[in-house]
Amino acid sequence: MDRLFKVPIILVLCISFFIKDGYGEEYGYERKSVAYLDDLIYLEGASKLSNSQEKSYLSALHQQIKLKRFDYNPIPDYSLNEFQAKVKGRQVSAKELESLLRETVAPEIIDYVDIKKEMRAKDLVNETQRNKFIVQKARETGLTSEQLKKVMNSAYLYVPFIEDYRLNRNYEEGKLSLTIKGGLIWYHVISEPEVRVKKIARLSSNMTEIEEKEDSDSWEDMEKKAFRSAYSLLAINLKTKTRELKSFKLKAQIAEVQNRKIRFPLGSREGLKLDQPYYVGEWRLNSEGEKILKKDGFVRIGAVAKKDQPEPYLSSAWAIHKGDWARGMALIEHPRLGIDLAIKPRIIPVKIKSGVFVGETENGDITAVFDKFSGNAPGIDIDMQLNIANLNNINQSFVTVGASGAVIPVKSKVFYEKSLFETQIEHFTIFEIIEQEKNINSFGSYGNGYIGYLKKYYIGPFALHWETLLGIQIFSVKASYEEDVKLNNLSLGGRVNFGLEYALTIDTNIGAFVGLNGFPAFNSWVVKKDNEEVDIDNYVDYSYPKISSCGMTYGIYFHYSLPSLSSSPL
Amino acid sequence: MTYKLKTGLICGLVLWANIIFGAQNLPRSRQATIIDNTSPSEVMVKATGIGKEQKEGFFDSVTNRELNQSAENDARRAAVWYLLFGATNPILQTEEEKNKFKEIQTEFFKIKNIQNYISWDATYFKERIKLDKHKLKIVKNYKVNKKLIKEDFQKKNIIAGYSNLVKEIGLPSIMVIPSQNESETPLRLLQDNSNYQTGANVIQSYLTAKQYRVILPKQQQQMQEQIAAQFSLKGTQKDFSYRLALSTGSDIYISYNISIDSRKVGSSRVYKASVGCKAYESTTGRLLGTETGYSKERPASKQALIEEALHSAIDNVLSRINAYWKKDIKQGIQYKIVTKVDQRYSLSQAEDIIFKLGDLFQNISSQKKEVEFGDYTYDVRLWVDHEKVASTSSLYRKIKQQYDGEGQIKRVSLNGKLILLKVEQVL
Repeated sequence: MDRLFKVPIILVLCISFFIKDGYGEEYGYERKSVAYLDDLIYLEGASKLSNSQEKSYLSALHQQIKLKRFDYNPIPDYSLNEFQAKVKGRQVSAKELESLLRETVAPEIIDYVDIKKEMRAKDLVNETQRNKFIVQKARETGLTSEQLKKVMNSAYLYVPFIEDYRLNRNYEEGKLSLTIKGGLIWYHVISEPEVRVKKIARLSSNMTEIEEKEDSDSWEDMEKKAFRSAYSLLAINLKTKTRELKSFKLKAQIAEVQNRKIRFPLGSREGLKLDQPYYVGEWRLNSEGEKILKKDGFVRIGAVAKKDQPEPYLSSAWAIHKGDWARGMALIEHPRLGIDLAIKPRIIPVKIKSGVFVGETENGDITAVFDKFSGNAPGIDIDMQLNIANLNNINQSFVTVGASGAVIPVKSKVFYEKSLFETQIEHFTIFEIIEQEKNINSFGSYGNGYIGYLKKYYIGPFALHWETLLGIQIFSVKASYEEDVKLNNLSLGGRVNFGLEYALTIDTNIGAFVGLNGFPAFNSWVVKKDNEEVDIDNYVDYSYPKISSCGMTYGIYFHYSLPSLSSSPL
Repeated sequence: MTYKLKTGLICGLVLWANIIFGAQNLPRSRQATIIDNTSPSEVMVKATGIGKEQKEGFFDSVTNRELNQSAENDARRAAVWYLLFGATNPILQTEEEKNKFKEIQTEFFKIKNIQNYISWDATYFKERIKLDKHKLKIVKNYKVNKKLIKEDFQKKNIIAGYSNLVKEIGLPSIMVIPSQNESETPLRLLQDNSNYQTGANVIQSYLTAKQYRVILPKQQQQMQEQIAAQFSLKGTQKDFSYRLALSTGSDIYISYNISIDSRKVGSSRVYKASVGCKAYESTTGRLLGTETGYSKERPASKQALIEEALHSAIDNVLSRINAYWKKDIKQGIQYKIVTKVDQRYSLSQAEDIIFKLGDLFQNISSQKKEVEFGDYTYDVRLWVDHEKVASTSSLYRKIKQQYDGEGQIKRVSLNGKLILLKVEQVL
């Protein structure tokens, strides 16, 4: 049964992993030159990964950190080998690491940046310089030594590290738990007056994955799966954290304000994506005479300027919460994963027509008698809303994956008959001693797993949304005998929701919705004994308990845009 | 209320209104710097603007858009204000010009008028800081058409008389020559050094764009001959450029020197050009103005950098030249006359001859300045009315016709602004 839930969630996480950049000085962003060590540093006490694990981990990390806002500088193998030779097989202190980087890798980075500096410095030639004599008359690029020096000093380097790696196999419970804590150390490579590296940040994230063993699974496969899932999510977290660093945050000056729409000089060259949230604000002098940014509302990206589009290179965004905005105000990135966690308490219509289920298993028969119930039950939806605007090019479109839960006050009796003695002639039973046990339930549990599409339309801070969902409904009753027995009724169906939200903050919306549930009654049953699914013959065709959820559902809505995932939601 | 009191009150109100509303148009910040002379007529200026707005009622609010507008208008005004008053060589130089401008400053600084002089303004601010709720400071770049401001001022007679005189006499003729070098003569530098050739061409193109007559001494041989023609006078300066300027008849000469420094940024060599420009009065060799211009340090060609450096220097030198010319031209056209009296005359006879010449020069000129009064040498500078004496030859003719002293006046050479004469004994 759990698999039914896992499939869509894995799908969401896989999509988020493969969407490149999808979610992931004061007045404008200047490109940075970035290099990285394709080698893992183990901090004190960290267990070593296997070679293949190291390779997969590094590859996932580099893929995520490869942001369009950076220019990349390769580090030659001989330089990397020299570094690796010096750190191999020993713990390295932070100070020593800095010194080794300065000696081995940093000069190579500076050399590479040096070769590329004139080309990269051209991006720094601003509109004023383009109007100056030197460019008009001499048709030169207009580059100055200040710009070249700026490029020479724009080099950054990151070093991936592992701080903790733990693997625990619980053979008794059939569970595998894997914890990985890793991150990046970011250095600024400074070229003048002498080559040196300066640590600017240490980003880390940890992830715990728990895998339950199925019969067909081997422990090795489980470990691989858990490790893959953990490092993928860890890399996504580190990407968001990298985007949050002050030096790397995208920022721009507003070029135009037209009602609730603004235009600004960032675009696909910097990796700008649809729907990303940005703060709008202005620099103010406080009473101490310091310059501080005062936020005054926020926007979401509406259209992204193409990198090769003719001038002006301007993207646009629409205001969610609009302050008193004017040209020249600052726009500052608010990095998020692009996944919203929505919690939706709601009323679920449930109708149960009384009936009987009779099934036969290998070890005995199970019979359940359901009382009737018709009414609304309080429940809750927990959804993950993955923004797919950059895949389908439609603003505010999401893939929703989620699950509902509710408790239905319906009475049921579950009889479990176990044959203690049986005498048969050919196929006919002539004597049998049966032990019958009975369990009376006052409640049944209702569950719903679904996947669907959600579209929002913002009007200022308000958003209208509709979503359509397809999923599976499960109604369960339990019985405890010598073993735990769980009887599940399954149904397939869908739901359509219409809602109105209000953006409380850049990360949180609240609202309400109404919807139509369409899960008809199915005579489809699954029986589990001690969590193991058992084969069953269903003897009842017509008078089975008809469990359906059709009708109006309504509830309230709350969502939060996730900055990172601390653990896998699986 | 008495009539006097009423009148006084009305006058006071008018004055107060004029101060209040007139001052509204004047820039608040008055902070600006010249970034670049983008062309002979346009200047790139980085100006600061202070935006200030007041609520006009209980329900009114001051928006950022209004503050932006107010600050940008102020920055535009500050950019123009800086060119009028604040730059090294402001457009308004004399007290008279400033006073005349004061009469129209309220009208002039109306934003609609200021806008006419702004040929380009940057899309983005260099800086934008809210100082308080209703006060905003911005820094932005503007390209200002300085030539247009000057033309308008000439039409309005604020920089008065200049245009009329220019129409009649023309702008000064300017000779451009490299500075004297210990090892090489200016003409040799001009011929052999490509940097100096570029420099000469840039200055020439800049000056001709502003309609000056430019003299570039290119024929060294010819020049040497002309100089040889001048007899070596006592008191004649040894400066080659000075003698050359006199002989070519230029009113002013500009000498310049160029130096180029280089260093490495990474593996690229970057260059920085420094250019010194000096303007002299041809007849006296008096220094009128000196300015040094620098290019930015760039990985660009030396020629481009020389041009960039020269553009920043030449405009300021030219302002000094104009200031001098405006003042000097009112007195007439300037000539240097050096006369040698035949040494066969006795000292007392020679003195009489020089007295006679002095009287004659006094009569035909609007102003006379004696440079040397020797036993047999008389060196003077004359300012002559251009309507009465149109050229060097007509001045010589007039001297010759009106001289009534002993002996006979003969010319040694008539070269531009320099007239060399001798008084010979009639046998």
